[in-house]
Amino acid sequence: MNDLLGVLPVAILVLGSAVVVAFDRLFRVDERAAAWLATAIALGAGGAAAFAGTGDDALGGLVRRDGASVFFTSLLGVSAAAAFAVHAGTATTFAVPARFGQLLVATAGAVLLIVAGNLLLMFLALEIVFVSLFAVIYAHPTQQARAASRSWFLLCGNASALFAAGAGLAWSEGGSFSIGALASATSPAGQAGTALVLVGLACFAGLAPFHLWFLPALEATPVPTAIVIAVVPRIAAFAALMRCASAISATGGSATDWRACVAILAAASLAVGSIGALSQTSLRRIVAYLAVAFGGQVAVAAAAGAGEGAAIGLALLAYAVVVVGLFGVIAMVTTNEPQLADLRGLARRRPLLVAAVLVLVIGMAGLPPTIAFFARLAVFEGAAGSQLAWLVILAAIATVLTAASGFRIVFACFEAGDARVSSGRIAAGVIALTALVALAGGIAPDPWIQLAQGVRF
Amino acid sequence: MIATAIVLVPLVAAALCLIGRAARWSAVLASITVSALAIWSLVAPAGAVRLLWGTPFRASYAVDADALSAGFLCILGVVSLVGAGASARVADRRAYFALWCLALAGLCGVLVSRDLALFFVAWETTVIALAVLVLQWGGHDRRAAAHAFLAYMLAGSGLFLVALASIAVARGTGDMDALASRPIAAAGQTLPALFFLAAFAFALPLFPLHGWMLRVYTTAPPAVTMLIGAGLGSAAAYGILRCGLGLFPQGFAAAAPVLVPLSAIGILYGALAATRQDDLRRVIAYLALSQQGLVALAAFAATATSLRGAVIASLGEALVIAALLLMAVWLARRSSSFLITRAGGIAVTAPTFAGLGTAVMLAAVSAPGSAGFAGSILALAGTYERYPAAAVVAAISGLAVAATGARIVRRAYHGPPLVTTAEVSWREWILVVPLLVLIIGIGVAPSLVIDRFGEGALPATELRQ
Repeated sequence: MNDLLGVLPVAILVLGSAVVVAFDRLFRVDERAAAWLATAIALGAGGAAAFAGTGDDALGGLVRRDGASVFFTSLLGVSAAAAFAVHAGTATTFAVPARFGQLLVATAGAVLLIVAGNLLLMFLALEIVFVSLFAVIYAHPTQQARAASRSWFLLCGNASALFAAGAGLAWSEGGSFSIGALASATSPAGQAGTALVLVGLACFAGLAPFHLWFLPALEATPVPTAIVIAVVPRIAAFAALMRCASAISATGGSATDWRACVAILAAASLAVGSIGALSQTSLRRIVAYLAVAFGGQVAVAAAAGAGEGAAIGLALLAYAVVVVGLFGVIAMVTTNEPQLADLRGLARRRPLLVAAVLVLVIGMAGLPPTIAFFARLAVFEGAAGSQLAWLVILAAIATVLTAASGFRIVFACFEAGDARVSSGRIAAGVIALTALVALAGGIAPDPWIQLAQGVRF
Repeated sequence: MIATAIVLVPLVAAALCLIGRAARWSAVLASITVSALAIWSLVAPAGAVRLLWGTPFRASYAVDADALSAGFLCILGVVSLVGAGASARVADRRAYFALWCLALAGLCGVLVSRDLALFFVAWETTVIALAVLVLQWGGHDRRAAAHAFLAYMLAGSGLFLVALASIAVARGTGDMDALASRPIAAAGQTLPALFFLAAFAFALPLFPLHGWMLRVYTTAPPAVTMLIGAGLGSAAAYGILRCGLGLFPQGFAAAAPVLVPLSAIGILYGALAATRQDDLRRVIAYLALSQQGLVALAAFAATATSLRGAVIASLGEALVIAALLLMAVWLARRSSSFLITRAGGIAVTAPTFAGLGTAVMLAAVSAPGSAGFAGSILALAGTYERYPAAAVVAAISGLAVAATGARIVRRAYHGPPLVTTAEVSWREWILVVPLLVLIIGIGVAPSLVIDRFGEGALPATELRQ
């Protein structure tokens, strides 16, 4: 029973993807119906994870059923469902319902990455995410998408290979592929193995300098796919990163080394994301750069140590909420390549939508009164508590810069113009929901914080 | 309970503005209620309310309206009342007044909150609401003005956030009263003091951080400028007293050799620059810079007298900015321009209006009997005990301010008549009278305010030296 509950979310996603494909082959379902089906499946997987709750390790330690598994799997399921719902609301570009099957498989791989308690299983999960998302990006028939799929292939393909090499080195040291073996890898070869494992995961998390796949992929794919790409691999990779990190820190050993590495990646992401967003005019690029900077903020918490599970959980929750919301806004702009200028006049036409954009932008910047502020506070406190003052100051500067870039979006809405946005109710509903969650979490943060406090590795 | 009500009333009014038709009346009533509740809390102090909020991250919902808060709240209510009353012709009334009430709620939150995280939340709410007001209802240069305003404010907020997080980690709480009762060791106070000062120094503004000021004053609608100059400015002064000096007295003492000269330079610079301006809004901006410099100087000097002077000067300054902006709007309505070179000889056709304008200008130059005079005297006398040179510079700057006042009165109200104008209407009387009554009231009997500050309302001064 325990084993069954452990693999239930993955099983739902994999079987669900088969169902989507089969439905498409048998009944020629239209794209919108397939999107709703995928939404239900992703929600089901998230719900199943929440329903199963925590428990003993399943499958002889291969699958963990701790607080982190439950929280991140549920978060992943819900955010993927939101992405599919946005797609159902704005259906235009994808044409092949079977693509939802691939996205569901990618989500299944990500869930596997979250729950894996074994380096080999993690590698398998990375490969599943890698291959299925490559197929999704490559299948989009534009020059840009081909280029994005190339960078995805090069960076993440290499990253998973490096991860495999790292896992091998760790095995040569400890004689086991279980994550706990990383703790005993204290010789130079073992430490190199640990470093390679971390590099592989950091690449999938989209931290700079590995944002070079992240930006083009978000730019080249249809918006709902971009949401999946922005949220799914990142949440899973951070969860896996923290799982490895807590195993390393459990016995001391090379704990400080990995923290310094993550701190440097965090600083690079903060700098790249917050400075890069300043000069962009394409809406997607702005949001993509802001997402890179937000990833840097999450990494700041990761650099603070394995004890910061609650901060990372809250930060990733806030990240998922604002990214889904802002990309939902982009999905509503009807021009082909949405620019800032396309939002002009939105304040007059859709004042409520602009209010939601304002809340989401404030959330992206990590300012009150949104849930992201409490996430930021938790991140800063964690980092300040572990003597990373320089990183806190850098993160605060990045907060100001991201706020400046984000407010360009709001300012554009208030200018005079002729905004071209669709009147999709479903996308608007998703946006409204994300804005409300962001706001509710900022006014009454306690329930969300308690949820995030369940994150233990 | 009163403190919670003070924040809730404008919030409810903001919601009413959105759904109801009488948006302006909601804003006006909310402002009056804020003032009334503040006076009530002066008469019958209710004590602090503390609730857990964001528990694990050491944030709490702690609010209290003590004498210091209540004084500022009372003036804020009046300023907001006058501003809302003066914004008669705005487009999109419902959104405008909803944002107005939101900004008012934020300012009230700043003035009553006793937890640093809550304080920050309220502060950011205010800043963002004000920025949107400038952006949407400002003049031709509104985009740049809103950008500059946000950039400066957020730069301060970023530093505030760093200080907030490190204090919460170091002390395990963000509660101001708890922090004040167990102060940090003197050696470690300078850095957090400067970080906390950052947010307020940008908003006050303290020379040389006033880069946003001219743009906003000349571009924003005058009523919004009132809320920024008088509301946010006095809230910043309050913040310096409460979060800055209250929590890190020794840190400010260590930084005083830098801060005091900066304030003195700001006073002199603002006063001198004001003499050269023809645009009334720019004149008001520079006069405000000068006066806020005096508030800051008195606060940094941190003697018992100068702190009281800082409070009175800040309250008087808020009232004076509001009154000056009102007169500027009315003058512009009569002469179709904010330039004093276009007005002239108004006293011929509208003697009462000219008299009223002269009275406001007298208040602005801190003539005896006005709140500004009481505040300046206390501030200068208190500052002289510690920093005589700075006090002398500030006192001399008063001459330049007086020259500005005389020049404006002479150009606008006297001389050859350039415009034929209407007299003061009853609407205008209603708006300006409360301001003048308060200005003269505080000026004649400042002890009414000062005596309210019992033990612990103002930062302790005996820690210095």
